[in-house]
Amino acid sequence: MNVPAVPFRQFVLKVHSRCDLACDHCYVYEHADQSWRRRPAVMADETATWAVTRIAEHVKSHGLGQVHVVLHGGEPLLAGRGRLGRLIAELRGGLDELCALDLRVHTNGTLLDDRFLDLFEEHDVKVGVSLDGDRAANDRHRRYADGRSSYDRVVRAVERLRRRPRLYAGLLCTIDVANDPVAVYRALADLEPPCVDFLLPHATWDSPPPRPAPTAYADWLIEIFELWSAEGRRVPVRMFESILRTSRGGTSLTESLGLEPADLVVIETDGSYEQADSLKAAYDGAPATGLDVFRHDLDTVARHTGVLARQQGLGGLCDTCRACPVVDSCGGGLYAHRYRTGSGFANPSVYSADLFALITHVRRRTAMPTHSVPAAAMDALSAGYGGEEDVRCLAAAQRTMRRALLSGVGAQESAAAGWELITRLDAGHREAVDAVLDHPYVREWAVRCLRHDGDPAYLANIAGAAAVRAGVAADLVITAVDGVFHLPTLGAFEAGRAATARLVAESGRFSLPDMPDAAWRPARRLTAPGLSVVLEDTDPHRHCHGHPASGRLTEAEAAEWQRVFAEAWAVIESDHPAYAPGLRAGLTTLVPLDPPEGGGSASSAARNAFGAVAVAPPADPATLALLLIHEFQHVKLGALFDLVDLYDPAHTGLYYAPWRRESPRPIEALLQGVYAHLAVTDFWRVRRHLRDDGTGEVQFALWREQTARAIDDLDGSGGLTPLGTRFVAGLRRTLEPWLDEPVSGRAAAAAAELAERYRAESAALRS
Amino acid sequence: MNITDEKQSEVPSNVTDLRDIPLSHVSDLDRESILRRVLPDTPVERVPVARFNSSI
Repeated sequence: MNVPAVPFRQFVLKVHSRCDLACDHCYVYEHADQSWRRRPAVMADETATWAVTRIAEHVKSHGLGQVHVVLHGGEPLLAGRGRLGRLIAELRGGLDELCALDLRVHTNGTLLDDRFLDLFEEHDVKVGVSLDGDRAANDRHRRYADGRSSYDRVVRAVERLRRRPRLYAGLLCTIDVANDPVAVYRALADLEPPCVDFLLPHATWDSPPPRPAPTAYADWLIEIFELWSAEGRRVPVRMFESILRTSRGGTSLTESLGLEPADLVVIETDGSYEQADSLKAAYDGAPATGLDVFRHDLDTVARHTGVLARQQGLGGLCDTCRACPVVDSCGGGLYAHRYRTGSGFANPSVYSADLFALITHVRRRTAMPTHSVPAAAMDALSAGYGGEEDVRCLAAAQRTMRRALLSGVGAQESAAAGWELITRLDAGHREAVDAVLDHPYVREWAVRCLRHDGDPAYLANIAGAAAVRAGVAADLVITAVDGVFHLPTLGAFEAGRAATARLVAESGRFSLPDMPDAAWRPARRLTAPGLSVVLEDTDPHRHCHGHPASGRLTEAEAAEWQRVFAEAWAVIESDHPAYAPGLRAGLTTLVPLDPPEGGGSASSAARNAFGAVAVAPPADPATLALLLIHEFQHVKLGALFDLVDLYDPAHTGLYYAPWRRESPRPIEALLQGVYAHLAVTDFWRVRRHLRDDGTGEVQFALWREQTARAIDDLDGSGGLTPLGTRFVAGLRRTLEPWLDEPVSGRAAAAAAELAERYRAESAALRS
Repeated sequence: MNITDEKQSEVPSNVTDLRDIPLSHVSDLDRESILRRVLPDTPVERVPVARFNSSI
C-alpha cells in the first residue's frame, strides 16, 4: 500500500467499557465484536498516563497544532468524577503546552449532573449527548436493562447543558426509520443543540439494517432535510452540511462521509489501540491492531495496514464507488458499512443506495448556477488573445470573487457599519454597488483583511462611495488608510493626522462636514478613442505591485500620461489590433509607478487587482503599448486561474524562466511568464518591420526561442491538468509558425548570445 | 456526426455565480468555496469539532 502514514489528530479514549443502559442497537455490545467482555471495566490511571504520553510524543514529533480527544465508552461517566478528573487534568497538563487540545466527552446523559458539569467547566471539556429524538423514538432502543425509559433523565441532563452553552457540543441521534422523522427532528432542534449528528445504525452486508423500502434511510433523512431547509436550518446538522460542503469542493465534517483520510485512533480501557469504533459491527476482532500504549508509539499504529486502508481516499474505494458521480460527497460511506464476508471492505456501503439518493436530492435542491468559460473563449485565450466577450466572461467571474470576499470581510466586527449600508444599497442600487466593487483594489483590500493585514473599517469607504454613486443619502464614519480618506472610483480626501471622518452624502454630492478644509483629490481618467481608464494615484491599496507606486501626480504629470497613453493606444490599435478588444473590455485602471532606480522600464499586474496595470513612466508610447499588452496578459491569465484549474497546485517542480533569472519558477509563474512573453514575441514580431533599429528583430528572435523552450518545459512538467495541456497546446499553435519566420544571422546570433548570458546570470544568482 | 468528436461548448468552473445573489445572502458555503480558490494559503476552512461522531 503505497501511501504515507497520516498522523493521528483524533483520539478516542475508552475510559469505561460498561454502560448503565442496555440499548438493543448498541454497536459496542450487540454487534459482532465482543472484545468488551475481555477488557477491564475502567481505564487504570497508569494506562491513562501512558495514553497521554503517547499522544504528547505524537504531537511533538509531527508538530501538530491541534488535536481532538474524545472521552468515550461504554459510558464514560461510570468512571466517576475522581478518575475522570485525574485523566482530564493529565490530558490538559500533558498537551495544553504542546498544542490546542479540543477535549470532549460523549455520554448517554443519564449520570450527567451539575457536579460533572462543574468538572467539565473547570477543564473546558465539551459534552455531546446521545439522544434518539422524541420520547417514543428514544425509548424504542435507549432503555435500562429492566426496560425503564432513559428519556426524562437524558432530557434533564441536556437542559443542564443548555444552561452552560460553552460546554454544549451537540446531540447524537441514531436513526431508526420506524420513528417519525419530523418528530425526531423537532424534538432535537427544540433542545437548541449547537450541532446534531444523525447516524446511520451500524450495519454490514452480512448484517444489513432493517429496510422497509429500497431507500428507507434516504427517504427518512430527506424528510428532515426538507424541514431543516424550510425552517432556515435553525440548528446545524452535520450530515447535511457535510454534503453541501463536499458538493462545493470542501471537506466533510464527519468521518461517515467524504474522501478525507482517517486520522482517528481508539485507545481501549486496557491500553490496546483499535482502528475505529464502528468496525465492531464488522466481525469479532475487526478493530484490533495487536498494539498497545505500553509497548508501541502512535507512529507504529499509523503504519498499521488497517489504518492505512482508510487513508487512501478515492484510491481505496471499489470500482463501483470510484465511478459514482457523488463519490466526492459520499466517500464510500463509513468504512465499516462496506464489509461483506469474502470481499472484506472492497464493496459499496450497505447504505449506498440511501447515500446516493440523499446526496443527489440535496444537490438538486441546493443547486446554484456556476460560472463557465465558453469553449470559444478558451480557444481565443489559449491562442494568447481574447476578444471583448472573452474578457467580459473573465470580468463577470471577478465580480463574483469580489462579492464573496466582501461578504467575508463584512462578517468582521469593525466592518459592521459599512456592511449595513452596502447590503442596503445592494438591495436597491445594485449598479452603483457593482461599479464600486469592480474597482480593482477592492479585492486587494478584502484579501488583506481576510489575511488580517487590512482594515475592515474601510468597508465604510466602499459603501460611502456606492451611496454617492447611487445618489442615496448617507451619514457614516469613514476611515483613513495611508493618510487619505479614499472613496473608491471617486478619489480621496487628504486625511492629515485624522484617523476617521464623518462622510455625508446627499443626491450624489458629498463632504466631510467636520473637516471642511480637507483637500479633495478626484480620480482622473486617461482617455483614447473607445477607451477610458482611471489614472489611479490615490487608492491606498494600490501598493501591491512590487514597485513603489507614485504619489499624487501633478496636473502636468497627469497631462503627460494622457499624451503617452493616447499615443500608445493608437499604436495598439494600428499595429497590434488583436490585443485591442480584450484591453478595451478589461483594462479599467492604470497605476503610475515611480521611475525605477537605474533607469529602464517597470510594470506590473497584481493577481488581486483584475483590470489594473501599473507602469513607470515609459520611454515612449510604443514602450507603453508593449507594457500594457504584456501586463494585461497576466491580468487575463490570473482571472482564468480563478475560474478553472490549468495546473496541479500541489506540483512542486521549479523551472528556469529567462525573464525572471533570480530563481527557478513554480509552474503557475512559468505559465504566466509564457503567456506574457508570447505577446511580447508577437509585439516584436510586428514591431521589427516598422521603425526598427535592429533591436526589434533581436528581441523577436530571443523571445520566440525562449518562449518555445518554456512551453516545452510546461508540456514536460507533468504538472498540467488536461485543460492546462489543452491551453498550452493553444499557445504552441500560435508560436510555432513564428519560429519559421526568417531573421537575419546577425539578429539570431545576438539573441543566442543574450539567451546564453541570461542562463549564466541565472546560474550565478543561484550559486 | 460522431458524437465523441463533438466539441464541448463550455468549460465548466466550480465557482458559484454570486452576481445575482444579494450580498447579505451569500452563504458561508459559497464564500468558503471561493476563498479556497482565491486564497489557498488562508485557513478559511476549519473543521470546528472532532469528526468522530459515534453515539453511545
